Amino acid sequence: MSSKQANLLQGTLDLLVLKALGTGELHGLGISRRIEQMTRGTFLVKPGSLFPAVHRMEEAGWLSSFWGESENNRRAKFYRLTRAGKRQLEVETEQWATVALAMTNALKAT
Amino acid sequence: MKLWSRLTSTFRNLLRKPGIEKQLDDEVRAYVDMIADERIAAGISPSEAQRTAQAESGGVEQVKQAVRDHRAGTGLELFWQDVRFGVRQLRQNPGFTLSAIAALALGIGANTSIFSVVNAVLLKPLSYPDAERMVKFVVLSTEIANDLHNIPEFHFLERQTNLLKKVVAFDNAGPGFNLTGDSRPEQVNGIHVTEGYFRVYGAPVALGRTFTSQEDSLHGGQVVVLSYGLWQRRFGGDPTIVGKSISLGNEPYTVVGVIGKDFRGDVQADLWLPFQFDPASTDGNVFFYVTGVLEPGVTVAQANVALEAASPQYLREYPKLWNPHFRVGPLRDSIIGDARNSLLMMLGAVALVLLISCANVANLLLVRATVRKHEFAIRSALGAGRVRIVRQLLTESVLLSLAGGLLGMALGFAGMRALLAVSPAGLPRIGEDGSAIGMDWRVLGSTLAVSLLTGILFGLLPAFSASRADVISTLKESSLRSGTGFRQGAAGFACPEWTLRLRAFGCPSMSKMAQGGSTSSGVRSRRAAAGASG
Repeated sequence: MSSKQANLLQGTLDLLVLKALGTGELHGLGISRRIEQMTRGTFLVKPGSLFPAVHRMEEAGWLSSFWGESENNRRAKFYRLTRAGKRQLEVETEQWATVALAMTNALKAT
Repeated sequence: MKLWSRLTSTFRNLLRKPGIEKQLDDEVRAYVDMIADERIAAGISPSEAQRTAQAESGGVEQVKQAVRDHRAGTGLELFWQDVRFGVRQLRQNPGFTLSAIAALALGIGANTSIFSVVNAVLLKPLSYPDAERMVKFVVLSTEIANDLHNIPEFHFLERQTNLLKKVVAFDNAGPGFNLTGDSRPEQVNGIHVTEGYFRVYGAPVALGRTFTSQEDSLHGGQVVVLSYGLWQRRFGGDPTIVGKSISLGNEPYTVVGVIGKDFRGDVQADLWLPFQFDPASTDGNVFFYVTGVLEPGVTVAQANVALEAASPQYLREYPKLWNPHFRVGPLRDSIIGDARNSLLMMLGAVALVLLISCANVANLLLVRATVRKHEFAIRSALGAGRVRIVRQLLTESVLLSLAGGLLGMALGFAGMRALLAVSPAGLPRIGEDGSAIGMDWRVLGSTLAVSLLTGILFGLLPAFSASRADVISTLKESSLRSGTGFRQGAAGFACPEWTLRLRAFGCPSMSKMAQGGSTSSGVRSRRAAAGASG
């Protein structure tokens, strides 16, 4: 809902979801909370963006899903990285590092 | 890997839709419920917690729609929806649908059939080896050009080696030969040819050889070359036929060869005999045709000038014979003859029919879009985007054009056969019973493309105006009155075109032309009648 949300770059969301799932399986709300925590509240991912993204990534074969019980005993759909997803996380992390470094240098240049 | 994954997802999404929808619903609801649970645990009332959780998530249905929009196979599903809706729409308006399809089918069918014939008769090159350089000889008297020649003329032309690479002669089948022998006697078509005939016309030799110049000279012996058809039918394809003797008119002839299956000369024949001209003949009777191949680099005009210049020479050699003025013309022109003009005229007529068809379809679509303005207004009021409405209309137009195209294809095929049945003898180069004429796929494709384009263009124009229309004011009009003025105007437009079309089909000169000028011979009329009734 915040204006920061609009600045979420196309493709950044995918990387954030992959990263959030890097430490283990999570359900939708879990992913959203983990991203909020990892970015120290900078990125608040709404379900309207989150669910299309995870479904798309599942179709791409990066995520797999299963139904399980949430911490307070609700039936929820959990996601975890597939092997392709782990590879994708590595690739995108590397790409991001390159881009970030380049941007930092570019902005520092006088 | 990724592609495969998306493909399987597409299939799963399309095939197991209810299950997937249920899971999506559960998933999004669980998300909202979990937020609500936290609120309740924090001491907010359950109803308030549920409400704020819903609002913060942006609404369960909206989230679900966002997922659906990104799902693999969504485009395909929408397309299928459009197609089904389009078919339903078309079926609900049989009058509109049938007239549009009929208009398209007529245009496409007529063009395909006529052009297929025109292509086979006029456009396709002759299938002979030096076809572009092949010419036919005529002799000019004061008024008439006569294409029959006598033996002295043939020998004279044969000696013009600076102009002509090869000159050959052949006659007409005449009454035929009696083929007798082991089985039942049979009358067959046989023609006389000179030795070079088979080479000039590119006849493939299936067995044995063609005549030698020895066999084509006076007292060269009684030899015969068989056609593939006769060899198969009469002699059971006997592989040892060469060298055997057959009986023609009670005379023994030795078979020297068999010509391959696909050969078509200017005159159809079951067998060929050598002319065996007497080189010393001064006989003035004309009884055969002469064709030749020009030397490379010699044009028809040059050949005509040179032949005229050579005439005195001929007169010196044969002082007792009538003075000929030799002329040549391209072989193809002489074969096609008068058929060219009538075919081109029919081609022009059917091109106009196609134009009228397209105009009709465009009008029908315009009228229909005007009638449906109300429907589009309701749909956009219900949230249908402009792209969606345009897509829907486009799908309908394309469906219509495709149906018209399919029917046109069938009609074109039937029309082609009908055309051949009406005029088998009037048209040259169509082979036995029109076997040389095939459906022309290029013209079918291009007429189909034209009709598709018409459908798209005239489906699109009203679609844009409909989707841009002021929803409120359109809805305010009663559905009965919507767009009445324009509708009547457009309907009035559509009518004269129909009259025009019907006139074109009923036009007496067209039907006369279709009979290919069959007034000249009783045989032709009989064949035409047999073809029409059979």
